[in-house]
Amino acid sequence: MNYSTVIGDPMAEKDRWGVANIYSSFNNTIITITDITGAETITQWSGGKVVRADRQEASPFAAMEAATRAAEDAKEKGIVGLHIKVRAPGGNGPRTPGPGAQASIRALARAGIKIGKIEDVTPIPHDGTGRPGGKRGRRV
Amino acid sequence: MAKARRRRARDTWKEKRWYKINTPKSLGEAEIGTTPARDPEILKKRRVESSLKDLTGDFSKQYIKLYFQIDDVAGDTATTKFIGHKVTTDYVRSMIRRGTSRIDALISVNTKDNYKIKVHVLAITTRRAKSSQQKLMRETMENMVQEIALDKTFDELVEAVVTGKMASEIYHQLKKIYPLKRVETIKTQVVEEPT
Repeated sequence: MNYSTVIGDPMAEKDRWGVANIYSSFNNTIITITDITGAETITQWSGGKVVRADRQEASPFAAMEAATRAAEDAKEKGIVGLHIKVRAPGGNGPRTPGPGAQASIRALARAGIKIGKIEDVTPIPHDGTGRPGGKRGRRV
Repeated sequence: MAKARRRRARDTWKEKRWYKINTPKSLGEAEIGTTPARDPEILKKRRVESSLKDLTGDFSKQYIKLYFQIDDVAGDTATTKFIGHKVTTDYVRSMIRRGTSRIDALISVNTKDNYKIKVHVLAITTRRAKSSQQKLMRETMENMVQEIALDKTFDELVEAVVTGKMASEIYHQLKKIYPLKRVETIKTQVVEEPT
Protein backbone atom coordinates (compact mmCIF):
# COMPACT_ATOMS: atom_id res chain seq x y z
CA MET A 1 0.00 0.00 0.00
CA ASN A 2 1.28 3.37 -0.90
CA TYR A 3 1.33 6.23 1.51
CA SER A 4 -0.22 8.74 -0.85
CA THR A 5 -3.22 6.51 -1.41
CA VAL A 6 -3.76 6.53 2.32
CA ILE A 7 -3.98 10.30 2.51
CA GLY A 8 -6.15 10.26 -0.57
CA ASP A 9 -4.32 11.90 -3.39
CA PRO A 10 -5.71 10.46 -6.63
CA MET A 11 -3.52 12.48 -8.98
CA ALA A 12 -0.14 11.55 -7.54
CA GLU A 13 -0.60 7.84 -8.02
CA LYS A 14 -1.49 8.17 -11.70
CA ASP A 15 1.80 8.93 -13.31
CA ARG A 16 4.73 9.03 -11.02
CA TRP A 17 7.94 9.34 -12.96
CA GLY A 18 11.51 8.82 -11.94
CA VAL A 19 14.96 8.88 -13.48
CA ALA A 20 17.11 5.84 -14.19
CA ASN A 21 20.74 6.80 -14.07
CA ILE A 22 22.68 4.12 -15.89
CA TYR A 23 26.43 4.16 -15.58
CA SER A 24 27.89 1.72 -18.01
CA SER A 25 31.61 1.15 -18.24
CA PHE A 26 33.60 -1.79 -19.53
CA ASN A 27 33.95 -3.11 -16.00
CA ASN A 28 30.44 -2.80 -14.59
CA THR A 29 26.93 -1.46 -15.06
CA ILE A 30 25.32 0.51 -12.24
CA ILE A 31 21.64 1.39 -12.30
CA THR A 32 20.41 3.99 -9.84
CA ILE A 33 16.73 4.83 -9.91
CA THR A 34 15.89 8.17 -8.33
CA ASP A 35 12.99 10.60 -8.28
CA ILE A 36 13.01 13.38 -10.87
CA THR A 37 15.09 15.70 -8.72
CA GLY A 38 17.77 13.06 -8.27
CA ALA A 39 17.83 13.80 -4.54
CA GLU A 40 15.99 10.66 -3.42
CA THR A 41 17.33 7.29 -4.41
CA ILE A 42 14.65 4.68 -4.91
CA THR A 43 16.82 1.66 -5.65
CA GLN A 44 20.32 0.92 -6.71
CA TRP A 45 21.44 -2.17 -8.56
CA SER A 46 24.63 -3.14 -10.30
CA GLY A 47 26.01 -5.94 -12.40
CA GLY A 48 28.18 -7.03 -9.49
CA LYS A 49 25.14 -7.66 -7.34
CA VAL A 50 23.77 -10.31 -9.68
CA VAL A 51 26.77 -12.27 -10.97
CA ARG A 52 29.59 -14.03 -9.17
CA ALA A 53 32.55 -13.55 -11.47
CA ASP A 54 34.19 -10.13 -11.68
CA ARG A 55 34.63 -10.37 -15.39
CA GLN A 56 30.89 -10.78 -15.96
CA GLU A 57 29.92 -7.60 -14.17
CA ALA A 58 29.79 -5.57 -17.38
CA SER A 59 28.06 -8.24 -19.45
CA PRO A 60 24.67 -7.58 -21.05
CA PHE A 61 23.20 -10.45 -19.05
CA ALA A 62 24.20 -8.94 -15.72
CA ALA A 63 22.86 -5.56 -16.81
CA MET A 64 19.57 -7.15 -17.84
CA GLU A 65 19.20 -8.95 -14.56
CA ALA A 66 20.05 -5.85 -12.54
CA ALA A 67 17.61 -3.74 -14.56
CA THR A 68 14.69 -6.14 -14.10
CA ARG A 69 15.27 -6.25 -10.36
CA ALA A 70 15.58 -2.48 -10.20
CA ALA A 71 12.33 -2.22 -12.17
CA GLU A 72 10.60 -4.50 -9.68
CA ASP A 73 11.73 -2.35 -6.75
CA ALA A 74 10.66 0.81 -8.53
CA LYS A 75 7.23 -0.56 -9.39
CA GLU A 76 6.77 -1.63 -5.80
CA LYS A 77 7.32 1.97 -4.77
CA GLY A 78 4.82 3.28 -7.26
CA ILE A 79 6.98 4.41 -10.16
CA VAL A 80 5.24 4.12 -13.51
CA GLY A 81 7.70 5.63 -15.95
CA LEU A 82 11.38 6.42 -16.10
CA HIS A 83 13.48 8.96 -17.93
CA ILE A 84 16.85 7.52 -18.75
CA LYS A 85 20.24 9.09 -18.37
CA VAL A 86 22.98 6.93 -19.83
CA ARG A 87 26.53 7.65 -18.91
CA ALA A 88 29.90 6.25 -19.95
CA PRO A 89 33.01 6.81 -17.80
CA GLY A 90 33.85 9.97 -19.73
CA GLY A 91 36.54 12.37 -18.57
CA ASN A 92 39.80 11.02 -19.94
CA GLY A 93 38.31 7.55 -20.32
CA PRO A 94 36.06 6.06 -22.99
CA ARG A 95 33.07 8.14 -24.06
CA THR A 96 30.93 5.40 -25.45
CA PRO A 97 28.74 3.47 -23.01
CA GLY A 98 29.70 -0.14 -22.35
CA PRO A 99 27.86 -3.32 -23.35
CA GLY A 100 25.38 -3.13 -20.48
CA ALA A 101 23.70 0.16 -21.40
CA GLN A 102 21.51 -1.01 -24.21
CA ALA A 103 20.61 -4.28 -22.48
CA SER A 104 19.49 -2.54 -19.31
CA ILE A 105 17.27 -0.03 -21.12
CA ARG A 106 15.67 -2.89 -22.98
CA ALA A 107 15.13 -4.86 -19.80
CA LEU A 108 13.48 -1.86 -18.14
CA ALA A 109 11.08 -1.53 -21.05
CA ARG A 110 10.32 -5.25 -21.03
CA ALA A 111 9.62 -5.13 -17.31
CA GLY A 112 6.61 -2.98 -18.10
CA ILE A 113 7.97 0.46 -17.27
CA LYS A 114 7.23 3.42 -19.51
CA ILE A 115 10.34 4.93 -20.99
CA GLY A 116 10.51 8.71 -21.38
CA LYS A 117 13.46 10.68 -22.63
CA ILE A 118 16.72 8.86 -23.22
CA GLU A 119 19.73 11.09 -22.89
CA ASP A 120 23.48 10.69 -22.92
CA VAL A 121 25.01 12.50 -19.96
CA THR A 122 28.62 11.39 -20.32
CA PRO A 123 30.86 14.03 -18.80
CA ILE A 124 32.99 15.48 -21.56
CA PRO A 125 35.90 17.68 -20.48
CA HIS A 126 36.47 21.10 -22.01
CA ASP A 127 40.10 20.01 -21.97
CA GLY A 128 41.39 18.49 -18.80
CA THR A 129 44.06 16.04 -17.74
CA GLY A 130 45.76 13.79 -20.26
CA ARG A 131 44.84 10.18 -20.80
CA PRO A 132 46.95 7.66 -18.91
CA GLY A 133 49.50 5.68 -20.86
CA GLY A 134 52.05 8.32 -21.77
CA LYS A 135 53.36 9.27 -25.16
CA ARG A 136 54.18 5.76 -26.36
CA GLY A 137 50.84 4.31 -25.28
CA ARG A 138 50.09 1.42 -22.97
CA ARG A 139 52.81 -1.19 -23.33
CA VAL A 140 51.63 -4.61 -22.27
CA MET B 1 23.90 -7.57 6.62
CA ALA B 2 22.44 -6.59 3.33
CA LYS B 3 19.03 -7.75 4.53
CA ALA B 4 19.11 -5.63 7.67
CA ARG B 5 20.09 -2.59 5.69
CA ARG B 6 17.25 -3.07 3.28
CA ARG B 7 14.67 -3.31 6.01
CA ARG B 8 15.81 -0.06 7.53
CA ALA B 9 15.56 1.70 4.17
CA ARG B 10 11.97 0.49 3.79
CA ASP B 11 10.95 1.99 7.09
CA THR B 12 12.03 5.49 6.18
CA TRP B 13 10.34 5.12 2.83
CA LYS B 14 6.94 4.75 4.48
CA GLU B 15 7.36 8.01 6.32
CA LYS B 16 7.91 9.88 3.10
CA ARG B 17 5.22 11.88 1.40
CA TRP B 18 5.09 12.85 -2.23
CA TYR B 19 5.08 16.51 -3.09
CA LYS B 20 4.05 18.02 -6.38
CA ILE B 21 6.51 20.30 -8.11
CA ASN B 22 5.14 23.25 -10.06
CA THR B 23 6.84 25.61 -12.48
CA PRO B 24 7.12 29.31 -11.56
CA LYS B 25 4.15 31.61 -12.05
CA SER B 26 5.68 33.24 -15.13
CA LEU B 27 5.73 29.83 -16.84
CA GLY B 28 2.16 28.88 -16.04
CA GLU B 29 2.47 26.85 -12.81
CA ALA B 30 2.33 23.55 -14.66
CA GLU B 31 3.17 20.37 -12.83
CA ILE B 32 6.60 18.95 -13.59
CA GLY B 33 6.47 15.88 -11.40
CA THR B 34 6.56 14.60 -7.88
CA THR B 35 9.29 14.08 -5.33
CA PRO B 36 9.24 12.20 -2.04
CA ALA B 37 10.49 13.63 1.24
CA ARG B 38 10.12 13.08 4.94
CA ASP B 39 10.06 16.75 5.82
CA PRO B 40 9.03 19.64 3.56
CA GLU B 41 12.08 21.61 4.70
CA ILE B 42 14.37 19.09 2.98
CA LEU B 43 12.69 19.81 -0.36
CA LYS B 44 14.24 23.24 -0.70
CA LYS B 45 17.15 23.59 -3.11
CA ARG B 46 16.30 20.40 -4.98
CA ARG B 47 16.69 20.85 -8.70
CA VAL B 48 14.41 19.60 -11.42
CA GLU B 49 15.01 19.35 -15.11
CA SER B 50 12.20 19.59 -17.62
CA SER B 51 12.19 19.82 -21.37
CA LEU B 52 10.25 22.57 -23.10
CA LYS B 53 8.29 19.89 -24.91
CA ASP B 54 6.82 18.71 -21.63
CA LEU B 55 5.68 22.22 -20.75
CA THR B 56 4.31 23.33 -24.11
CA GLY B 57 3.60 20.09 -25.96
CA ASP B 58 5.60 21.33 -28.93
CA PHE B 59 7.66 18.44 -30.27
CA SER B 60 10.14 20.65 -32.10
CA LYS B 61 11.26 22.07 -28.75
CA GLN B 62 12.39 18.76 -27.33
CA TYR B 63 16.04 19.70 -27.20
CA ILE B 64 15.65 22.56 -24.71
CA LYS B 65 16.04 21.63 -21.07
CA LEU B 66 14.90 24.02 -18.35
CA TYR B 67 16.22 23.84 -14.82
CA PHE B 68 14.20 24.78 -11.78
CA GLN B 69 14.98 24.90 -8.10
CA ILE B 70 12.46 24.47 -5.30
CA ASP B 71 12.23 27.63 -3.21
CA ASP B 72 9.02 27.24 -1.26
CA VAL B 73 6.60 24.55 -0.14
CA ALA B 74 2.93 25.10 0.60
CA GLY B 75 0.86 22.10 1.61
CA ASP B 76 1.82 19.31 -0.74
CA THR B 77 2.92 21.49 -3.64
CA ALA B 78 6.36 22.95 -4.06
CA THR B 79 6.97 26.13 -6.03
CA THR B 80 10.12 26.62 -8.00
CA LYS B 81 12.22 29.32 -9.54
CA PHE B 82 13.99 29.32 -12.88
CA ILE B 83 17.74 28.83 -12.53
CA GLY B 84 18.85 28.26 -16.08
CA HIS B 85 18.43 26.36 -19.28
CA LYS B 86 20.53 24.25 -21.58
CA VAL B 87 20.30 22.81 -25.06
CA THR B 88 21.09 19.10 -25.27
CA THR B 89 24.60 18.22 -26.35
CA ASP B 90 23.34 16.01 -29.20
CA TYR B 91 21.54 18.97 -30.73
CA VAL B 92 24.57 21.26 -30.55
CA ARG B 93 26.76 18.52 -32.03
CA SER B 94 24.38 17.98 -34.91
CA MET B 95 24.56 21.66 -35.85
CA ILE B 96 28.33 21.82 -36.01
CA ARG B 97 29.85 20.73 -39.32
CA ARG B 98 33.21 20.88 -40.98
CA GLY B 99 33.98 23.92 -43.09
CA THR B 100 31.72 26.20 -41.08
CA SER B 101 32.57 28.55 -38.26
CA ARG B 102 31.26 28.27 -34.78
CA ILE B 103 31.05 31.56 -32.94
CA ASP B 104 30.49 31.43 -29.23
CA ALA B 105 29.64 34.41 -27.08
CA LEU B 106 29.48 34.16 -23.31
CA ILE B 107 27.86 37.26 -21.90
CA SER B 108 26.98 38.22 -18.34
CA VAL B 109 24.09 40.64 -18.35
CA ASN B 110 21.97 42.55 -15.87
CA THR B 111 18.23 42.72 -16.38
CA LYS B 112 16.03 45.71 -15.64
CA ASP B 113 15.06 44.27 -12.27
CA ASN B 114 18.66 43.53 -11.28
CA TYR B 115 19.02 39.87 -11.98
CA LYS B 116 22.49 38.85 -13.06
CA ILE B 117 22.43 36.21 -15.78
CA LYS B 118 25.05 34.46 -17.87
CA VAL B 119 23.97 33.87 -21.46
CA HIS B 120 25.77 31.67 -23.95
CA VAL B 121 24.90 32.37 -27.58
CA LEU B 122 26.11 30.19 -30.43
CA ALA B 123 26.10 31.25 -34.07
CA ILE B 124 26.92 28.92 -36.94
CA THR B 125 27.81 30.20 -40.39
CA THR B 126 27.21 28.48 -43.71
CA ARG B 127 30.88 28.62 -44.69
CA ARG B 128 34.09 29.52 -42.99
CA ALA B 129 34.18 33.16 -41.93
CA LYS B 130 37.37 35.19 -41.55
CA SER B 131 38.49 35.77 -38.00
CA SER B 132 37.86 39.51 -38.37
CA GLN B 133 34.27 38.75 -39.33
CA GLN B 134 33.97 36.32 -36.47
CA LYS B 135 35.26 38.95 -34.07
CA LEU B 136 32.77 41.49 -35.37
CA MET B 137 29.92 39.03 -35.05
CA ARG B 138 30.90 38.19 -31.50
CA GLU B 139 31.00 41.86 -30.59
CA THR B 140 27.59 42.59 -32.10
CA MET B 141 26.15 39.59 -30.32
CA GLU B 142 27.50 40.81 -27.01
CA ASN B 143 26.17 44.32 -27.50
CA MET B 144 22.77 43.12 -28.64
CA VAL B 145 22.27 40.77 -25.72
CA GLN B 146 23.31 43.49 -23.28
CA GLU B 147 20.80 45.90 -24.79
CA ILE B 148 17.98 43.38 -24.94
CA ALA B 149 18.54 42.38 -21.34
CA LEU B 150 18.64 45.94 -20.06
CA ASP B 151 15.13 46.82 -21.18
CA LYS B 152 13.54 43.55 -20.14
CA THR B 153 12.56 42.18 -16.77
CA PHE B 154 13.77 38.75 -15.72
CA ASP B 155 10.57 36.97 -16.73
CA GLU B 156 10.49 38.69 -20.11
CA LEU B 157 14.10 37.81 -20.78
CA VAL B 158 13.58 34.16 -19.86
CA GLU B 159 10.66 34.04 -22.26
CA ALA B 160 12.63 35.70 -25.06
CA VAL B 161 15.51 33.27 -24.58
CA VAL B 162 13.44 30.12 -24.26
CA THR B 163 11.09 30.78 -27.17
CA GLY B 164 14.01 31.74 -29.39
CA LYS B 165 12.89 35.33 -29.99
CA MET B 166 16.22 36.72 -28.89
CA ALA B 167 18.12 34.27 -31.08
CA SER B 168 16.13 35.24 -34.17
CA GLU B 169 16.69 38.94 -33.46
CA ILE B 170 20.41 38.31 -33.30
CA TYR B 171 20.23 36.18 -36.43
CA HIS B 172 18.78 39.05 -38.48
CA GLN B 173 21.54 41.39 -37.35
CA LEU B 174 24.41 38.97 -37.87
CA LYS B 175 23.14 37.96 -41.30
CA LYS B 176 24.36 41.32 -42.59
CA ILE B 177 27.94 40.44 -41.68
CA TYR B 178 28.11 36.87 -42.97
CA PRO B 179 25.50 34.30 -44.16
CA LEU B 180 24.40 32.23 -41.20
CA LYS B 181 22.89 28.81 -40.71
CA ARG B 182 21.62 29.16 -37.19
CA VAL B 183 21.76 31.19 -34.03
CA GLU B 184 20.82 29.59 -30.76
CA THR B 185 20.99 30.52 -27.11
CA ILE B 186 22.46 27.31 -25.84
CA LYS B 187 22.80 28.05 -22.16
CA THR B 188 21.71 30.48 -19.48
CA GLN B 189 22.47 30.57 -15.82
CA VAL B 190 21.08 32.82 -13.12
CA VAL B 191 24.07 34.09 -11.15
CA GLU B 192 22.51 36.58 -8.77
CA GLU B 193 19.05 37.61 -7.75
CA PRO B 194 17.96 40.87 -6.20
CA THR B 195 17.23 40.37 -2.54
